[in-house]
Order: sequence, then structure tokens, then C-alpha cells
Amino acid sequence: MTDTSPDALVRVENLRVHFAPAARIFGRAGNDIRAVDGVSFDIRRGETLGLVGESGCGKTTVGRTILRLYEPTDGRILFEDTDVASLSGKDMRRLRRRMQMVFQDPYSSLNPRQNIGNAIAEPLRVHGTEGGDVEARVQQLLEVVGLPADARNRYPHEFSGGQRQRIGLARSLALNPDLIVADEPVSALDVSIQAQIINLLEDLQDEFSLTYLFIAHDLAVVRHISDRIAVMYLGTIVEVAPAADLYDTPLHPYTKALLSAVPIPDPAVETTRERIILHGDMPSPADPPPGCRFHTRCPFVQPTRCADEVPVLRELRSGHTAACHWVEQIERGEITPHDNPFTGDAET
Amino acid sequence: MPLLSVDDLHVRFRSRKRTIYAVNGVSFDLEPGETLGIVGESGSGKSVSSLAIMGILPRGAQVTGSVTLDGRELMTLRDAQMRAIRGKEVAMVFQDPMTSLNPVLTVGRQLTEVLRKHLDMDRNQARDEAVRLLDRVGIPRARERLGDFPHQFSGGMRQRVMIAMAIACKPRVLIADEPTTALDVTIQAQILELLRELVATERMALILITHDLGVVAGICERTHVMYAGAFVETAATTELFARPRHPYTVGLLQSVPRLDAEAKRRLQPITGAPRNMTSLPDGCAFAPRCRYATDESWNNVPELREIDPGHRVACWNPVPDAELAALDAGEGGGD
Repeated sequence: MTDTSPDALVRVENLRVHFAPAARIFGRAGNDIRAVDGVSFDIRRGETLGLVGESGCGKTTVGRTILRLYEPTDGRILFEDTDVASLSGKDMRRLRRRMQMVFQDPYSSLNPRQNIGNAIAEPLRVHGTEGGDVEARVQQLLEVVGLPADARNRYPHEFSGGQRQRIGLARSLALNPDLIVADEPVSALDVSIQAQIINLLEDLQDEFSLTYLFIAHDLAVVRHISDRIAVMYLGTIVEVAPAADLYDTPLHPYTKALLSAVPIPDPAVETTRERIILHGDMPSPADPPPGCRFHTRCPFVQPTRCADEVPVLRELRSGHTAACHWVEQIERGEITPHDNPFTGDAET
Repeated sequence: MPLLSVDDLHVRFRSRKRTIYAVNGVSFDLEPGETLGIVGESGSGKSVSSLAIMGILPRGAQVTGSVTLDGRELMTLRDAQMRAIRGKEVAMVFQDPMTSLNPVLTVGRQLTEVLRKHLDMDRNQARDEAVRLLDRVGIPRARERLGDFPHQFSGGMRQRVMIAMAIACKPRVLIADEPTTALDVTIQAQILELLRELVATERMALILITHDLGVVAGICERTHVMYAGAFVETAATTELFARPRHPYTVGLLQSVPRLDAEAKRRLQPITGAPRNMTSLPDGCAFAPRCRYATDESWNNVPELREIDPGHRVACWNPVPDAELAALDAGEGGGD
């Protein structure tokens, strides 16, 4: 795919991230874990790009590799025009001011013995802000994320999960970044608190012109917050579309199944909607199926192409790409869901 | 007579420093074959209630109230008598199957143990029945897999094993505590489909405990909403979602983004944080977070009362219908 939108803040090109399996570290043979295996996409300036998929699909690895917390095995990550992977330690540190990360569990990313004021001041001091300026900035950041001014003298354990996520946000905002990679930022929170943090993320984006890569498994949350959504399966992107399009007209069979599996809090909808229940589990990224990686579970699988030809992302509607050989036939109703001969899974 | 009846259940955890008031007067009936949802956030007391019903709370817990099965009081049973009921009449499935399966015993061994203990089967009978059960819950090549250990199964398959163990003795009540929370959404759909199907074919009553309103909507006939250790609203599930009346229920529904939302609109969060459970409130436990709270809410504890047939609410100022319509249209006042 050569999506060359001019307003890209980040451009990921054919990214691969492979890890050595634990078995090999202990001297035994084993295949590489192909966590991310040929992924390309853009993140446009000012947008929220949602990255969804189930555990093990590689979405977290993509996010972390963009910040170079993991080294890419192959491919390029361009931040504006700088190739992130080629930077030296010093240049990388300078660039990191502009890209920050927010984690799922803010408690494990805060030092329990460091008070909140110092936790927020740390990135400022590391990057050379001094004295009274630090104090003023910490005060301002606490206010921005909706924490009381006296929070600076308190410690992480004194805060609830939602408040800790606010602290995490204040830290990530300290250096005025352009990009925030948020990895499951609300998954650990109760629903009533989740909404507070989602609203805060939206407000902060407006106020500071932030660009978000929002990584999550909860499709309803991702749909709510994202402008565009990329769906991952087993180390590859299977579909990219504007958020509303993805929900209204999912094109890839995996996206269709994923959307139909999300419970909707409305019994009237739940009792009437059609579900595509996938059989079996996601295969291992150490030994992904040949051809289309989804063919072993796909309810629309065909005897030709699926098992031996890797599908590429094709633009099928404006701004809407999917990697499936048979999208047109499925959309026209010529191919309907059926048992998958590759699944090897008894029906019920 | 209801199959299972819980009356005025209280659970407290007392330590030298403080007391946690985990469950504060929960009552409900379960009819044979009924599917009942209990929805609440962490710390609302939903899991503690189910552990109290099963009689498996740690020793320090103070439990009062009554739990009857077919009219027989369970709270006064001796341990041995309760063991005969647990797993046989009332069985439970937990959130994390890895921590509730024994990692050093094969799945076959754990499954046949249940069958031999409760149903007096011999080794061969138990083995055949175990294969039938694994097959029943959708585990492929069931006979070969009896010799596998729990870690050789995926998360979804482990949960299927747990369900097979739970239904082994054909219990009349199955309590499922967040059975799909640890699973991916496509696997969750598989497990919910299995539960739906089991309840329909085995005539089991199901108590499904979850934080996910969507899960309840798809499977439960009745739903109880729990907050700070008590039920705040209870109704037929369709009624509860169509006409929620307790401000907390309304707040929950307004604060979750919906996948099928027509247009993007701002979420309406519930302000503040869940109640600290180290004391009992003087009034409504939800008052500090409620925009409908009045003096009465702060000073008097509201009891569950019926406001429509089968629809009960513990609130001094239930949300009026007109206001619900306005909230649905996205005109909800501030947060």
C-alpha cells in the first residue's frame, strides 16, 4: 500500500518486528515470533488513529516500536521526515520529547516512593527545564488533567485508578508532545471512570493539537474516540477505514466477525442481530498460516488463493482499504458464510 | 417456591483497623431455568455475594442472612453437608480459569474426580462421561485431550473445561462470575453462545455476574444493578434497558460508548469515584455522585420499592421518563 497523504505525522512502512523465542535463548531451536510482520500505515497530524485487535495480534508491539522501545527488525518508521530507527541515542532522546506513551496500568508505571509532583517534574528536568519553571509547569499540568493542586505532595497509592491515569497523562503532556501513543489507557478502569478519562483525552487533543495512536481491544471505545481505525490480526493489518465506515460497512471477514461479537448494551439489538461466531483460537505468531493469515478461521474461506496467496491491502472505497481476495464477491452475496475446512474444530 | 432464595444477605470483613461493609442487605429469588444478571463495578459486592451463597468466603468474613435452596437453609449447614451441595446442586465458574484449575493435574483427572466424588462413578464410567462433557462444551478431540494439563489449553478452551466441570453433575444453579472478562471478544462470543445454549437445553438456572452491560443484555431475562453492596435497581432486562429509573443505572448506560451509536456524542460520565466501603452511609450510598440527590437522599437509606410491575428501584428521586428521553436525544445536562 502506498498511502501518501501529505499530512502524515508518522508513516510506518512495511514494519516487521520479530522476537527470538524463549526456547532459543535456552539453546533449543524455535521459530521467531513474528509479532509484527509487514505493517504499513500513516498517522495524520491531529487525528486519532485507533489500532484494534485481539491479544497477541501485535498492536502493542507496533505502538512501542514507533517510540523505539523495541527495535524494528525491518521496515521504516518516519516521524515527519526522520527515520526513527536510524537515530543515535542522543537524537532519539531529543525526538522522544515529541512522542510520548500512556500505559494501561498507570500504577505500575509510577514509582511508589516518588510523589506526584516529582513524577510529573521528572521529564521536565531530564529535558532541561529548571527551578521555578518546573514548579509552575507542574501546577499547570495538574490543573489541565483535573487533579487538585495538593496532589503534588501525595504518593501514587493515595489515588484511585482514574486519578492515576490522569497523573500518567500529566506526565506524558509535560514536554508538549505532538504524538501520544495510548496503549489500552482505559481498559483497567471501571465504566463510570472510563468515560471521564475518554472525555479528558478528547479535551486534551483539542486544547493541545495532539495526534493520538489509540491502541485498544474494546471496539466500542475505539469507535467512539477514533477518526480512523486499523484492524490487526496476527501481525498484519487487515483493514483500515474511517471509524463510521468501518462499523457501517466492514469489508474484511475478520472485521465483520469482530464487530458482530461485541456485546451491545441493548437487549432489543442483542436478540435480533446476526452473529458470526469464529471457531478455534488465533494461531501462533511463531508459525502463522501461509497465504491469508485468517484463512484457517475465516467463515468465507475459498478453495483457491486464500491458503497460498498473501492478500494485500487494496483501496475498495474512498479511504477504506482491506486485505482480502474476495471482498467484492462477499459484498455481492456470491460467497456466504460456511464451515471452514481448515479449522479442524468440531462444531459445538 | 423459588429454586434459590437469598434474603437480607450481609457480608462484613473485620480486621483490627477497620471493617469493610461488602454486602449490605441483598435479597433475590431465582426460579428454575431462569437467567439472572447481576451488574456492578469493582467493589460493588457482586462477587462477594456469590461467594457467600456458595459458602466459600474466607473464615474472617461475617455473613448474616438466609440462603435457601428448595426451601432448605444453606447458611446453617455443616461443612460436609455444604460440600455435598456445592458442585452438585450449585456450581460456579470463575473469571480466570488458570487460577481455578490445578496446574499439576491433567484436565481428565480433575474432571473425573468431580464425577467420582459426586456421582459415585467408577473409573471407566467417569472417563467416558468426561469425554462426553468436553465434547459437549466444544473441545475438539476430547478423548485425546483428557491427558493434557491446563497450560496446554488456550484461555477460551480452559474456560470451556471449567464449564464442563461445573455442569458435570447437572447442577440446577450455575453461578458464572465474569466468565468472559479475561477473554478476547471473539472468544467471549463463543463462551456466551455456549452458556446460552446450555441454559436452554439443560434447564439450568444461571446467575451471571458481570460489569458489562452488553453481556447482560444478550443473555439475561432479569437484571439486578448493584452499587456499594446493595441492589439499587431490578427489572426484566428489556424493561431495565428501555426505562432505567435509578440515576446510577442511567449513568452507567450514558457513560459507555456504544458500537452502534448513530452519531458521535460526548459521553456523560458519572462524576466522582465509587464509595469507600469502610462505613455504612447515612442515606443513599450513591448520593455523593448523584445529581438528583435531595436532603432525603443524604439522610435516609432508600429501600427497593416497586414502581412498575416487576420493576423495583432503591431511590428517593427516580429519573422521570421525560428526562430519559431528553438524555437519549443527547441533551443531557453537564456532568
